[in-house]
Amino acid sequence: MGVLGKVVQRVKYEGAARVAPSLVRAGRLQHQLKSRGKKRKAPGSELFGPPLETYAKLKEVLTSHYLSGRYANGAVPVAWVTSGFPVEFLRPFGYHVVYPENHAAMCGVQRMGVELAQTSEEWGIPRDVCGYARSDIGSLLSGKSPAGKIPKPDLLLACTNICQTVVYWYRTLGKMLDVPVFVIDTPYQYGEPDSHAEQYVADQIEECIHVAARVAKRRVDMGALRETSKISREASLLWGECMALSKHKPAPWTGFDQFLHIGPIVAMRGLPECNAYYRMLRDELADRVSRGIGAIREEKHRLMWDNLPIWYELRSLSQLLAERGFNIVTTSYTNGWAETAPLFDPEDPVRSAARVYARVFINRDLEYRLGLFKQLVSDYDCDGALLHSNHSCKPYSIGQLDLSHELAKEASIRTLVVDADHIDMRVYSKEQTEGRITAFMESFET
Amino acid sequence: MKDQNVREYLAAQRDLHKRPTVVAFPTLYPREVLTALDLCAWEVWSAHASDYPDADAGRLQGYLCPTVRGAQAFLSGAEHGAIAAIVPHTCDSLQGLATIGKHLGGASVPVLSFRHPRGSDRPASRRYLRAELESFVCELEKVSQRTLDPARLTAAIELHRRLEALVGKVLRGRPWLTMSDADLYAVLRRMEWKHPEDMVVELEAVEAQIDRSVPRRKGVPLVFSGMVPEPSGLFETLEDAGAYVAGDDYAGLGRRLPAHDGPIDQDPIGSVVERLLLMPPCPTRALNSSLRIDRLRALASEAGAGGVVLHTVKFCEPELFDVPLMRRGLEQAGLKVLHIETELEDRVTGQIATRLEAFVEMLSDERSA
Repeated sequence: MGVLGKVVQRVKYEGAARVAPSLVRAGRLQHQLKSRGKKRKAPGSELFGPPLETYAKLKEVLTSHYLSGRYANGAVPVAWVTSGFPVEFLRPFGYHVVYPENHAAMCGVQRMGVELAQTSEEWGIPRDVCGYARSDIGSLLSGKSPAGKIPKPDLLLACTNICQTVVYWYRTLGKMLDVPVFVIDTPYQYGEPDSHAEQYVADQIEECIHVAARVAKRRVDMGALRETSKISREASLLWGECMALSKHKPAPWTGFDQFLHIGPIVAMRGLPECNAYYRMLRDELADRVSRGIGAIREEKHRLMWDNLPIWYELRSLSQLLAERGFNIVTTSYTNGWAETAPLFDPEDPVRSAARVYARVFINRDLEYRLGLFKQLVSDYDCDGALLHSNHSCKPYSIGQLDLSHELAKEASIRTLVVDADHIDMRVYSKEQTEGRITAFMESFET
Repeated sequence: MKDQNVREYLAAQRDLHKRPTVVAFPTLYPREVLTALDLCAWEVWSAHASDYPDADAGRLQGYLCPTVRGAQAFLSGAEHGAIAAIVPHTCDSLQGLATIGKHLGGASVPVLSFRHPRGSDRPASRRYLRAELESFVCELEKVSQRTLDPARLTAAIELHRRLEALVGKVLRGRPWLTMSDADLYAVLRRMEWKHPEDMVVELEAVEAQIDRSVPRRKGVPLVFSGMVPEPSGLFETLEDAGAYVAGDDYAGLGRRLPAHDGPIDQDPIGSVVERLLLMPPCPTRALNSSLRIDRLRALASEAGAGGVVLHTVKFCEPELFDVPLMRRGLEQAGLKVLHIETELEDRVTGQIATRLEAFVEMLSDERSA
């Protein structure tokens, strides 16, 4: 692509980001005009409080991100990264960042997971491996995506703080796309974090910054890195404030809402738009708290959720719980994006990032995780917990049977482990799971 | 009791030679350090949960690999007689096993972790591995109540090099060895529990049987790549079908032979670090699948093999992810590929036997053509 072509592409890329919100608003207006006069409510909506107004903004923000992505190739450098990767260090180089996990979650919500997984399975990826990876590779092979066109990466960046699977997944992507892969290896933390492991992480972050600069053909600007670290820290703190509002009774939003609103903190961390969005969300949630508006009409019991969501059953599960006055008020998954925020030090971005990213809860031992669960249960005044035993996520699921038992004992709450998969509906038995959850809820009445 | 002969041997090591047992799970840990501390390693690659009926049942979900489920059952019992267990940070499931053992009462002995880096060609990896090794040594010294002597470590490295050289010669000399694969693997797998000094004697005896003046053995040579060479019936099936293992890339054997030897550093800890970094590419650690493809091609070429068997254990993510790329890369190089998946069963299933036989037949026909 020549210089002029790149300029044109850049204009399209920037333009798409600006135009997207208007398109979303126009689409919403069109929908409102069409349904004017038709008094039709979604089934089950009487169980819930009014929908969050910020949800409309969420759609604008994410649409803007994905729409601009369609024009990213040739305009800006593109990186595919894992959700636990220190993305703030890419922002000063102007990368458009794609999160295959976030994209796979969208595929799960749209119930495309099985179709995409089958495509990757036909290619040879076995069915027993991570559902996100199968969905992502299936999307790459088929070109199918609910987000339209996903830009191809110039660089693949993975961090093992969420799992080791990302090494195998990104290694596969690297070969398929003929793109360099850089892995930040964060050794699992048994006990107190150790300095040599965190030094190792810091060394790799430094190296990665230079690799990213080289690929983007930009210079390293420590001032800019400090600035984006500051923005990123603030974003995590804002996200934490949003979640903390659920400590109030009734909680102003559900855990299922949190699963949807997590999009920007995962995919846009380090960008000012992300922080602006969470300020808006926080303000709306705080307003609901002040006016006593709950996420569900009658909150009787409060639960903690562990593990990834069952993406394709968000609505049905939230309804099932709301029918009996149960609300998921906190989740280990969403909490993960605020948990280590205070460790960020914008004046020492690399070393503090090493601490932040190495101490992500899923990279820490089960004793730590049990402590975290107990803390969440206490802080959010939960009287029960649902643990999703996720077939294709081993690091999150191993040890859950022990954790469920210990949590019930030590926190004196009821717990239930349900079997499913975050993406692959073939693993999920709807009737059985809903039956078990119903029996679990009924046990609170005895 | 299962592994009775192993237990008897280890009991004798403990009682007569003052070498207590330390259990080690897959895949990579610094064996030389245990030898230098006069500890006897018992590597448990394929415990079966069903062999330990008294173990804590139901702690692990069914979708975790049988290696880990068996390991957990083994670890929670005390019959192993070990003073400690090493759980390398090989994969997500083993990392989980380690913390269940350390923190949730899932082990009857102290659990030590060893977190080798992913990717070995970066200065940061080397620095980290050194620090991790030193930390591991401290932990091992504490549980064993022994102190690592650098001179003893140097001697241990030399001993393990000698053993590895013998393993390499035996594996490369396979075409001129009349032993069956089943018998050969039975011998090689004794390295999982026998002291290196005793294994050197055994393998020297095997090496002595290699006679390169005679024609290569008949049969279709194959390369095998995977975690663990089980069930042993696999090799009997292979032999009946007219093939043999000419190239070994099993995680506990061929993949544990460092690529080359350098001088032993004045600082033997540094030598151990280099040896660990020189291990052949393994999907649990490598960042680049091309390295593995190149290695298997080289093994096939050296062995005169036209086919590679990718032998995975069910639910083993690091190996399973690589299968499609391995297949494509090897087929592009003109090699035929068969992927078989086992669950550490005692016997070969009819399905796997049939597929192996068909694979061998196809290769045999090609050789004749």
